[in-house]
Amino acid sequence: MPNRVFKDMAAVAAIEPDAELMLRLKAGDSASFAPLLARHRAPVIHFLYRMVQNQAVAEELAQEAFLRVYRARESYEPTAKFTTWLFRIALHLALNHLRDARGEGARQGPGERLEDSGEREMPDPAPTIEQWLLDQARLEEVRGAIRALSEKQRAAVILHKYQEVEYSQIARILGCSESAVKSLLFRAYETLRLRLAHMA
Amino acid sequence: MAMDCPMRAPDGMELLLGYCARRLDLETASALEGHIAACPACQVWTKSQSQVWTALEAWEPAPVSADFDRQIYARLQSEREGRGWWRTLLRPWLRLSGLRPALSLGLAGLLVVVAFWMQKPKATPSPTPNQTQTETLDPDRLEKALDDVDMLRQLSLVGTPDTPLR
Repeated sequence: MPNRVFKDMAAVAAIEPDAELMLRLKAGDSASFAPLLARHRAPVIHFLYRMVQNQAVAEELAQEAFLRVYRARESYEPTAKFTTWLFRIALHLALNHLRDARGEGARQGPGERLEDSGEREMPDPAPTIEQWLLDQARLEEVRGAIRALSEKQRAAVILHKYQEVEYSQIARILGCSESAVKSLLFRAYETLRLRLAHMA
Repeated sequence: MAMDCPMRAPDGMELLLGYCARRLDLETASALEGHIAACPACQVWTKSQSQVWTALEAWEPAPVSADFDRQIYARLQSEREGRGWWRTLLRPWLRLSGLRPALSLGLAGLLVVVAFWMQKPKATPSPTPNQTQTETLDPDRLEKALDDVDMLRQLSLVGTPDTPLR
């Protein structure tokens, strides 16, 4: 293993454990992929699920995202935070899928939807069927409100609200300035406040 | 306080958003609470934003499939195999460790033969029978040439002052 790789690994290890794992993977230690996968599997799938609103598609896209990480291991340089890079890949895949699905949806017609019905998300059917139906209706309102946002606004809200990513990192993931991210978020939350006001 | 509270300018919005997301430090949050208590516009804004926040929290993602990792590793494995198809082809031979040096030597020998063959100078091609030139004498042309020589000789005789005219 070249000395430079060890030096890089030592420098980055203090900053970010993910980068250290990636550098180990780059150096040929395939076992380093497992902890990366274990740590980021759920956040990436959840992000993709909320973007595309379909669990099976989200998992397929997440697999592709991790495969791309693995394939790119030899050219990896720890210039940015690992999660920024990972979420950029995931976002790119989600946007491609949404674009393709839009085209597919246009061919299928307005009656058919590509998203999940949400019925698989029944967390606790115990209380009453009325309560469950009410929860499902509220959930569908939320999903619909998120779906109605532009793709960039949707990504910004999901990263901010659910992944708890900071403005600067969201900016790097979306490829825009921090002030543009704040503006995106304020407009997105304004839209959500209007759309979800009746749920109060 | 007026409804268009300055807190709603971009920097203030960021603070209010952080407050609703419960991501502010205690000191900043308590200072902001003091402002919100006195500002109807900020009260309306934070109430409405908190409701949105609560509504969004209701949307929990589905659990990840149990075989997610297995599927990834299966895809990685198939990619590795796809990339090294020749290795798969040679795997039974490569397993026999005794054959590895022989295989290496064989490949090296083949390379030497190919290199020798490429360095070997190519023989000059001999002309084909069709390409050989055959000189044929045309009697008319020969006669004309002799006439020309004769005429030139006569002219040179005329041009010389010591030579009497015939």
